[in-house]
Amino acid sequence: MRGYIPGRLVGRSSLVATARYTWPIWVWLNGALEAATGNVFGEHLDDFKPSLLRFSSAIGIESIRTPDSAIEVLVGVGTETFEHGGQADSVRVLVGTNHGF
Amino acid sequence: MASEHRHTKATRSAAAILATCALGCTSQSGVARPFPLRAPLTRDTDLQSVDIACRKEPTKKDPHHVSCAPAMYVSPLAWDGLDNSIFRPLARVFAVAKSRESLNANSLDEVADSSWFTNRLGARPVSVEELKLGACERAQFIDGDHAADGSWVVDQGKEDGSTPGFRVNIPGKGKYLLKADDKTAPERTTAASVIGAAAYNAVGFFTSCEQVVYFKPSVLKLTPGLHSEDNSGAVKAFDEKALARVLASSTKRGERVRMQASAWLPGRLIGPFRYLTTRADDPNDVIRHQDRRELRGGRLLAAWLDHFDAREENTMDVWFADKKEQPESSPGQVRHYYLDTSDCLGSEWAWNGISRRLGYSYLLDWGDISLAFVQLGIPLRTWDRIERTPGEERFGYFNIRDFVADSWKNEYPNPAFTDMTERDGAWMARKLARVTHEMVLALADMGDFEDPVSSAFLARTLQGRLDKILERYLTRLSPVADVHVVGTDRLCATDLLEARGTRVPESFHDSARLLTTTLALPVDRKGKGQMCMSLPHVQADGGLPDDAKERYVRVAIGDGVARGLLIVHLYDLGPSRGYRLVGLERPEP
Repeated sequence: MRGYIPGRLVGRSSLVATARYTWPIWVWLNGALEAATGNVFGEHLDDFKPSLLRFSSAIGIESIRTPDSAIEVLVGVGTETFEHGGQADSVRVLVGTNHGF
Repeated sequence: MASEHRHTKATRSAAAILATCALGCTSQSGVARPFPLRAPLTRDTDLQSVDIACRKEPTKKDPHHVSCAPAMYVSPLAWDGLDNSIFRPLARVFAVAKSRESLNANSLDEVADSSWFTNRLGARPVSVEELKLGACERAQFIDGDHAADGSWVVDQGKEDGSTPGFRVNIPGKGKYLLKADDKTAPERTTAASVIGAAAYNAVGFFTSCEQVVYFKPSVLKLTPGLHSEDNSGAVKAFDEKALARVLASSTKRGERVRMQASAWLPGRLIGPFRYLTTRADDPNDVIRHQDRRELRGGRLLAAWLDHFDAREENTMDVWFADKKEQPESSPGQVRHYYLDTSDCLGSEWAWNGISRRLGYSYLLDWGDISLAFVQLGIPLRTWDRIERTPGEERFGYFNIRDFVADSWKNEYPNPAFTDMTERDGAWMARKLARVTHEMVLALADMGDFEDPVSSAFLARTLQGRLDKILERYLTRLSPVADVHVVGTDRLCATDLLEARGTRVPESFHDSARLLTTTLALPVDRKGKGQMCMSLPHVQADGGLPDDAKERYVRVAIGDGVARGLLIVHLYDLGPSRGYRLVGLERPEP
């Protein structure tokens, strides 16, 4: 969930649904738009409730050639849980390389 | 349909009259005459020799060397691209820049012959033979078939640029740079060099003498101990192996190797000309290059041929000293050349993504990138759907269908091309309107393709792209050219739209008026674009001075197809001496 900085959400398990759209904007660059909902929970999603999910969205550009470690410039926003009103409480500006999930 | 036609005609006539009135009112309100009674400038003073201050320029051979020629300008490969792709666009964001017309158009909306340009097409008849000769003199053509073994002395290697090659010195002929074909597009590179140079030359630019040559490798004799520099700047030995490598990469026809031969330019080479500012050490160079009409209008010529590589590195300034035997002496003059058009006609880069964009988007196109980002990639752009023509892949993405004359782009921004105005474009279109179909066929034939189908494809594509340019740039501003006075009172001209066959004769609905009186003048259209009208005299012989304001007459001519009018400025010197043409204007509609 690109709207949160690494370490912002910590738990024993996690559930995330992500919709991601990329489109070519230059020979070596894609635009990227991502919307995700999810959160971290206790072991085996113990305390999972739909109202505890958060929403994250991000938009930016990324290099094309290396999907596993693309160079990215993204701006993301993450929200509180829906139970707490789902208001934006996190803004993330990412300039660098994403590696892994 | 008929009523719609009448309506359109009536609307056009009304528009013409409105424009006429506007101009007439301006005249009556006492605006100064824009054109004095004198002949147009047809020869620029930059063709006169100038003195350059001598300076010490030590060389390895001569530590006390003195040069009286302009200094050598070196254009680094990456700098021009970076400057025009990144720094200049950034600077323009913060600049208070306004678009303005070119500064070297003369009173007849043309350019004078100069150290940049010699009026050919449109100024006088250019035959197919002259077109095919290009910048060559007949004595400069070389015949590889009848050359003796070892008679072409290789005295320099060339491993930089897009294609490798070498220089040969041919006794009795001089020096030629021989360049190989691009292996991925057999014959296209060499053909493009010859065709491009011929087209540039016919229009009026200075180019090198280019030809396609065939020869047996045995005619070459390699000078030992040669070195050459590659694109990275590394110096390598240019030995038998390197020579064999170049020959192996060239197209073959039987035992013979096919290469492009560029005759070495005469004079002292002083490096490329820039497409902006002036050369500080040339007193003749007083107009900023981006304000020169021929350089701006060159964008349409480049668009026609898809010469996306029209950048400063493919140009050359040459110092011609008055004393030829002392090439670095002063006085002398600089002449400006276009070089190396081998990237015309569908050249490709190693990356297909780049190749698809050539002509349609800059290598680094901030506008297109931003637009694509905002549009989420939903609308397909030309480079998303463009395809090579099956069977003619050597011409890459060179086609008619996707070509849009006014949105064609160079590889990276060219300052002169960027500043091209409608008038600059229309000026070049009037030049290109003189390229006949016979000339297009001749250009394609100059490529000397082994497969006649390729020649036919090339001719078809050149013709189609040319038609698109003319359709766009002859229908906005007035396409009426070749204006002249016959006898004392017949004003005659050529409507290039009809002469060219861009529109059928029935399309034209001529109108002509004397602006000071709003008197309508009957126009006599004789076919093939020839049109004449009789001018009533407004002043008698004698009496007033020749340049009296009472003798000043303006005539507005419209053809009912192009939206713009032609405003002809004349002085009426009376029935005996007749009208004197002094100026032409093509105002935007």
